[in-house]
Amino acid sequence: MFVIATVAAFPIAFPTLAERVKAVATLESFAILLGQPYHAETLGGFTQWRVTTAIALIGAIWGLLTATGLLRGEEDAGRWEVLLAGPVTKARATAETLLGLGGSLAVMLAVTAVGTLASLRLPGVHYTAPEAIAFAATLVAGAAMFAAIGALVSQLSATRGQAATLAAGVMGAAFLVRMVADSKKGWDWLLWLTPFGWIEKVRPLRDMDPLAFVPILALVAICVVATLELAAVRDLGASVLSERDGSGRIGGWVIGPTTLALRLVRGTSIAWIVGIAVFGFFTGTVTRSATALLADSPTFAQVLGKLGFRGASEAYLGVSFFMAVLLLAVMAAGMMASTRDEEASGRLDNLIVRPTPRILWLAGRTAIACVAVLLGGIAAGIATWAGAESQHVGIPFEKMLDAGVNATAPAIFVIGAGVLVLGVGPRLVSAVAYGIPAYSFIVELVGSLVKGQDWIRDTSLLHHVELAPAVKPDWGEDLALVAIAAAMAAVGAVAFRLRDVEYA
Amino acid sequence: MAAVIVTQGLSKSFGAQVALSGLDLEVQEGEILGYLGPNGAGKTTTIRLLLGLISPTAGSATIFGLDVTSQAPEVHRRLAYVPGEANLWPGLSGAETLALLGRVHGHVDGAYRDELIERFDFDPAKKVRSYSKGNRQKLSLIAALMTRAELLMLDEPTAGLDPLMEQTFRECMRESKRVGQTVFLSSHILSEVEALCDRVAILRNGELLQIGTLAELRHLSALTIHVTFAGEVPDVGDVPGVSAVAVEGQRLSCELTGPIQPLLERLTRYDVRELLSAKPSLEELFLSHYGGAGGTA
Ligand SMILES: Nc1ncnc2c1ncn2[C@@H]1O[C@H](COP(=O)(O)OP(=O)(O)O)[C@@H](O)[C@H]1O
Ligand SMILES: [Mg+2]
Repeated sequence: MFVIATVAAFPIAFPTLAERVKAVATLESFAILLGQPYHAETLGGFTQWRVTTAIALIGAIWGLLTATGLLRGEEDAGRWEVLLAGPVTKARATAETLLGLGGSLAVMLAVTAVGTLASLRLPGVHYTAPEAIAFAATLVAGAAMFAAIGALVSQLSATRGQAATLAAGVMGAAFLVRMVADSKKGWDWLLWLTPFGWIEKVRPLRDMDPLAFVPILALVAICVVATLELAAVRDLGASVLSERDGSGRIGGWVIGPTTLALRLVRGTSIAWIVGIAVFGFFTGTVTRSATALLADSPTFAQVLGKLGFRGASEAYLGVSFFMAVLLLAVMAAGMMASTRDEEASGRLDNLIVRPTPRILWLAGRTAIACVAVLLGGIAAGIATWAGAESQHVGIPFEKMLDAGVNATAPAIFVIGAGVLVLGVGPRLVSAVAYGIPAYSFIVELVGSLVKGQDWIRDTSLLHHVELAPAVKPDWGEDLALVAIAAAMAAVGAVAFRLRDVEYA
Repeated sequence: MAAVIVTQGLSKSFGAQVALSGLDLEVQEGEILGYLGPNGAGKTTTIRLLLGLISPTAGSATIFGLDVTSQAPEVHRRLAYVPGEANLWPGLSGAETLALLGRVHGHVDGAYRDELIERFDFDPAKKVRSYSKGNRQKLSLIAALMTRAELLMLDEPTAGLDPLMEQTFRECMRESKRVGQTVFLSSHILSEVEALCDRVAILRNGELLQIGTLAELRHLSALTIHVTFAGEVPDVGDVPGVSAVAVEGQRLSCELTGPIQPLLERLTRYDVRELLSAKPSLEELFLSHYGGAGGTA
């Protein structure tokens, strides 16, 4: 769908070749985020540039969450013990899960191929059917590779959390390498080192390089074989990376519902905050090279002026902060999903019958989520500033800190919405909390191509936060988001206090 | 003696599914009440209602004279609960879990806790995720018993325990009774209830069928007897204590309460090829006395 929208919108947005060439110049500034545009003045080139990396990223996240969830989450929950009590071995169960994953990916490939083939009928399309199918394969490649990586780390880790963190680390590193590779001409050999680079290298719609499919297929094959080998060796519940046990002495700092909540979200939060900070630092360090190309392009200056951006560096950093905004919102969604999971699993019962007032528990969880998100925003601001400063970009510290805090407003909104749903429809918490950033992201991507449909963009949460530091944060708008969040949380809390405890 | 738990017309429906209908029940101070019923009878629903985790669709309940919904925190301070399934935090160790649950509850008898750890042969140094189902159940039991709460609400607490630990659990229950704790013990195992409880309430499909002391519910301690004869099958319906007689070819089945001697004397006059006697399961009991096992098995 996204592909068709992009293809259809391209001629509308940039009708003449001259304008397209001009547009390409501005696109260069997004290269670090989305990859180097390759012949983006053509429809095929533009489409593959615009779509590939975003889809690869979404696919990668889906792949690793699904793989670790199926292989590790089920086992952690003890559901496999029931299964394995029968004549099913660990390796068989794992193989069947992998087969299921493979099936899902095949379906995804088929659906995507139908979409890309359908785009052949659009006016001005020059690529061929085999190229369209190769394009579909490229789009699914991210999900396939990271599902395979997720499966492998599931066998290595002691818990689902550890597996997901490890896989996310691999993904972050792969993405960073790709960003560095795209930040300077002449560094593009680095692309051969990262899965995201291979995806970028295929270029199915313009001068296809089928060789890039080789490492993709090899990675998937190696991960699958290693996963099956390890599954056969591994005892149920045990793992290669073991987890240290506590002492038998009764004590410790986990003494109440809020310290417990801190302990439960500690690992994940630190991983998120560090991830966001590393991302910020890298986007900061490449500011100069990203903007150098464009500094004296009059077209670019004109575009910036039209958008009300303050300068090339600020414009670039504003666009990259969009990523931080999105990451923080997803982090907030994760926090709300795990809050609901405490109730759904029956673990919350242990607290409320002892007796912890339900409101107190919920307030603790919510406050911790807000603080974690805020720390993430501040970390993003400081790290990006430090990265930019190392290259003497010269953006003031306060400006970046403001940008970081500004980036947390949508995440706070997600937390408020999460509490509301927890109160009125607890089974929907995950869907709604993750749904808000996902929906907003898609609207932003598609909406920027569709002119005259502002009301659609208005429904996107991300549309209601300014791209600081490119433009000044609109604190009024941020406060409005926070106020709405607080109101939603209040309603949710009251409903939660009165309703039945509901399990999964 | 005062009533600790009082329910009046306590009912709960989940949509169209009636989980508990019009329960009227009193649990006296210091007694162990067996709450007996097959799976799906509504035992867990009753306990969750009494704990204020869910609210009734009709009726009300008090514990220590306090309303279980509106005064839940006051009630909770004076009771301890063992859920049917121990859902604990996989990342905490056993020791951390005990420390946390003790602190949240407020009162812990440290010496008794250590004694319980010893008696249940429990290793608190491991992470919860590495415990077997039985060990998690032990942890849950220790966490409840160590509080020495006035009221213990136990939802099928021996599920997953091996026979030795089941024995330890029974000892603990007898001690609880000695020190005057009140126990609400849900179970679907007849022998457990028989061994421990002062009174038994029998539940099926959300309805209370009967409640009384073990002596009053004599059929609960009945034996099921199966005899196969080589020749003539006698009529034993008039023997004292014998009921529910059924004959199928050469095979006779009946239930027996009280002394076995009169029945044996009658049987020895005939050519007995095989004689089996067993405690009826709860399902058999329901079949013979309440017309069908009901529930969802
Ligand atoms: N949350 C729920 N939603 C729908 N039905 C439920 C729910 N909880 C229990 N029930 C139904 O209520 C009945 C009684 O369940 P329960 O109290 O768990 O029985 P027991 O503990 O005696 O096995 C069952 O038929 C069960 O399916
Ligand atoms: Mg139950």
